[in-house]
Amino acid sequence: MSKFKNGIVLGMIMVMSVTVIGFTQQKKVTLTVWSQDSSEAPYIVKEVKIFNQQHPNLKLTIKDLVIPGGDQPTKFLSVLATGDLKLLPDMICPQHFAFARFVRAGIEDEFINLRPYLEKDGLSNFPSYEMWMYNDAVYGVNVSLCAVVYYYNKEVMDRVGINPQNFMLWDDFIEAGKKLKNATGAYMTPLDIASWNQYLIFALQNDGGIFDKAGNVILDKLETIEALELYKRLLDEGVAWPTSQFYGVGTKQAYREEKVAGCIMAGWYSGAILSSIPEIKGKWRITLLPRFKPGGRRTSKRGGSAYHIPKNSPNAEVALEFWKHLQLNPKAQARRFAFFGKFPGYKPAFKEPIVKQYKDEFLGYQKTAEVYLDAFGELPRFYHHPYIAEAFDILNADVISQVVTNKLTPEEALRLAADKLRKIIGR
Amino acid sequence: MIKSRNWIDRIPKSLPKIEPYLFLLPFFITFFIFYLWPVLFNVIITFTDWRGFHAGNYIGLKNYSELLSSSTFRKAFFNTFWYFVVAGSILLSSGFIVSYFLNIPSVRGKKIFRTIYFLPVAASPVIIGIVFVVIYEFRYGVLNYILGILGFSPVNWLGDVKFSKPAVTGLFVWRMFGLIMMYYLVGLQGLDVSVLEAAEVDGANTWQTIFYIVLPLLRPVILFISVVVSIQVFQIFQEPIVLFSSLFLGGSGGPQDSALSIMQYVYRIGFSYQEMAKAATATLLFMCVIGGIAFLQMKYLGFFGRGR
Amino acid sequence: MKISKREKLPKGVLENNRLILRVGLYVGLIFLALVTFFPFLWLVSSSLKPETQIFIMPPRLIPRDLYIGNFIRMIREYPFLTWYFNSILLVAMRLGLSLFFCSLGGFALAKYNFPFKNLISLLVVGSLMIPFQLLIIPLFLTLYSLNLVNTRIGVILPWAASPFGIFMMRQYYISIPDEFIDAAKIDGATGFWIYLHIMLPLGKAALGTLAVVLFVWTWISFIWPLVILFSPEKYPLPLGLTNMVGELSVHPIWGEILAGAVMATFPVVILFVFIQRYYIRGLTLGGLK
Repeated sequence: MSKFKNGIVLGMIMVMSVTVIGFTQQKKVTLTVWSQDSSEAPYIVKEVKIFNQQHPNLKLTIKDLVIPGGDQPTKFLSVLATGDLKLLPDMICPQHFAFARFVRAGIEDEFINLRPYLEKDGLSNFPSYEMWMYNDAVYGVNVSLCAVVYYYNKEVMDRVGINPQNFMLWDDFIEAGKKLKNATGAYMTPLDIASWNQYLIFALQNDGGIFDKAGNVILDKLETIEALELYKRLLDEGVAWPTSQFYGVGTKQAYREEKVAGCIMAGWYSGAILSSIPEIKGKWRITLLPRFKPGGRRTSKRGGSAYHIPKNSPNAEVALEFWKHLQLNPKAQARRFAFFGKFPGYKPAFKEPIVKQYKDEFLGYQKTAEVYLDAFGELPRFYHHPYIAEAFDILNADVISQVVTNKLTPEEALRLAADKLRKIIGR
Repeated sequence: MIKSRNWIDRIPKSLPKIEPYLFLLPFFITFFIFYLWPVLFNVIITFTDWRGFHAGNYIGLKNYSELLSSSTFRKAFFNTFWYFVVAGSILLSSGFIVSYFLNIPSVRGKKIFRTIYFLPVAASPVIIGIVFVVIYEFRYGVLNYILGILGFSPVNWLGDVKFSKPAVTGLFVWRMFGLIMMYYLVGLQGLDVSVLEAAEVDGANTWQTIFYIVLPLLRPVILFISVVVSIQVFQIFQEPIVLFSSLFLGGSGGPQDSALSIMQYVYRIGFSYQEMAKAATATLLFMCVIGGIAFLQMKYLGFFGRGR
Repeated sequence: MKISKREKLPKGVLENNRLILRVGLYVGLIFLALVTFFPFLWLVSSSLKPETQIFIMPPRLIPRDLYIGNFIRMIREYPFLTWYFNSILLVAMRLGLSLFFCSLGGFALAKYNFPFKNLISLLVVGSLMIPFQLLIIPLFLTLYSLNLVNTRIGVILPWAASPFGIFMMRQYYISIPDEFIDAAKIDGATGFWIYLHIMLPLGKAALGTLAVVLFVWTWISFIWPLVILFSPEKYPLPLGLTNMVGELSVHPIWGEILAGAVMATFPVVILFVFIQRYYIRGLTLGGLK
């Protein structure tokens, strides 16, 4: 009898030991992540829990450092200079214009080339990988969609008898704008006259832009010029509200006073700006942009951030697995959407119920996913280039302001800008 | 008689010759370890095309020539000089005037005034920048609201080429005024009361007292203030950025770069374009200019020699 | 900000007590105080408003109801007190080192005669002109080789013997008449004794002002702590607050940020008020008589 008991006890001890050994063989990894702001960490922590459940042999924890996107390259360079791999972060997430700094410093190859994983998943699932592409390698994908739509105050538009959903071309937009102006004195959209912030939206929509895929300057391409001419026309015809503080309090107040009844901007605009104006809650909707020409695009792009994985960081492999979990996973992307309210930059995520059936409370419970899914296939490509920072500054200082004040025509301004930019790059 | 209570007092008299060097030892150490190498590094890379990591190639004076022929560089220099003249003179003069008044015994509420004038120095530049953007707002801002009451039409402080520099100057002066006033105040505090009293007895009116006695006595302090203000004006950097950039865009130099300062330009080249060697070159050139100006001030205001 | 216009009053007839000029002076001072104080008024009143009322134009200076939710949320939902503590620690270290080193060095340059004195003085002022941005990477490397990366001492060490402070103390010490020191020297005092018993007491006001300036600079410095620190628990206030601004793209938290900014001004103001008691006229020179 006691031998039997002993046997059972022994057996239990052995089972327990094996289990314990099994658990301690679980790899414990702490990933150091550099986030742009303090909002990312809570989301990542939740995803880590789910990741750990799905990978029982790994136990991930996250150490999150908040470093503004614009400063991440500086800190990264200082770390790189020491050659101490332990200081390297495992994942960083700066904004799109920071990537050019890495390329200029010649250290873009310090990051893992994510292209093979994207191709395996299907490149068409990612409408914005080209922003982080250099020499055919892709170092990041947009964490959210950043597609541009037309936000409009439905209440005001209804009163005047305008339906932006019926706009076919920009001409229709302008006609409606005149009608609106005559009826209530209101404008169709604010227009940023201080920088390329909004103008670039038009340029990209019309298949123009700053650089093409091969890296040539296309500022003086016909389509880019046409976009600037439209931009100017919006001002000249009095349908756009010029402002040099596009994201400032004045614009918000103008929305409140119904002086401006719409806005051409990307998907994150409602969360970032509109949601802080409770007076307009429920009154606004979104729709796609009018086209430049029949059959043209109905959307554009603005903004974006991406995760990069330094390939020499201590936990690069695990970071890569976690990255795949975050970006190549419809359910994780849907959860990100639920957390931040920004639509995913990953096509399969649109099939997830949370995304598909989302009703935006602030925008009057509109089913916004339908609009963005429509936009998905029509997003233009925004090719970056190591010298994109110079291009931005030239646009700011030498193009927008001169065109708005009639010192130069759009064509003159862009031709001069293109020459200046080519000269700088050619050096 | 002075009692030798400390062990220090028992150190032999021959030591005093080393004393100044000893006292300056902390400076020497931090200077050599933390300043010298980074500065030399920056001087050396001005002759290369270093971009932050990989070794640069020697390119001789190319950085210098490119910079001097760049219209943006010249614009930045012009803007900074404008700031220097305008902001510098406002600060130097108003600081003295107000501190003089706040030093007069019969003026009441001195402490409160001083504290209020000092407050701007304590504020975080980023947050205050946001406040000023609201103040300078074109259609709904406080400043234009007040101007409207006084009968003026609204001014596009942040969007008009003519007003961007004044707008930056306003913020800069607002922040620095209290500090300059304090520097003057401490200087005035240190003046020997008996000299001033003697002057009054001799029948000097206030104007004469100020010009012939107070200001000359304040010369070392004035030198300090003018050198420090000059350097800080030349290094104006955060004010244009917080006024003209936005959350989603990064730094901008104002409409057509009309408010772009030299340090902003340096930062742009170094940390936007990643041309760190060129940024170092720009810094070196700019330091020569400010160094020249500071040197002139020091010479004229008695830096070398005992000054008394 | 046309400050100078207001102050072009004939000076000093005050002693004769002309009422108009006295009133004029006070009007000027009060106007200046209003201009100086107004942005803070906006800041404080906004921090006491709920989020949705902050950016209503034109701004309403007195909030409808006093709302302290922003302050409470800032302290509860963010590591605000950690940031505060770190900033105070940094400032204490910086002041402890700098006030001592700078007054000592300033004394040496002001009252001693020794070879290379002018050269060293030039070096001091020259160091002031070096803008910090370009020193970041090489300075980081230097601190890395000293094993001081991600340490609090590493945040302030490069500026321990601040050239600004040395320059300032030098100029203020020059103003102190040599008679004081000569008297002590005759009695056989060493330099350090003179420093302790004469220069420090006489230079209290200047030292106090230097303390306030260095306090502020350390309190608001952002880029260097950002580069040198790698642990969020060591983040000082500017890193914490400025990083919250990025979060605005997700949900509006202006209220919390402004409340944090208001709370951040307290120590400097307290220090300044404390220093004020050194600014009593004539105190510094009492010693001679």
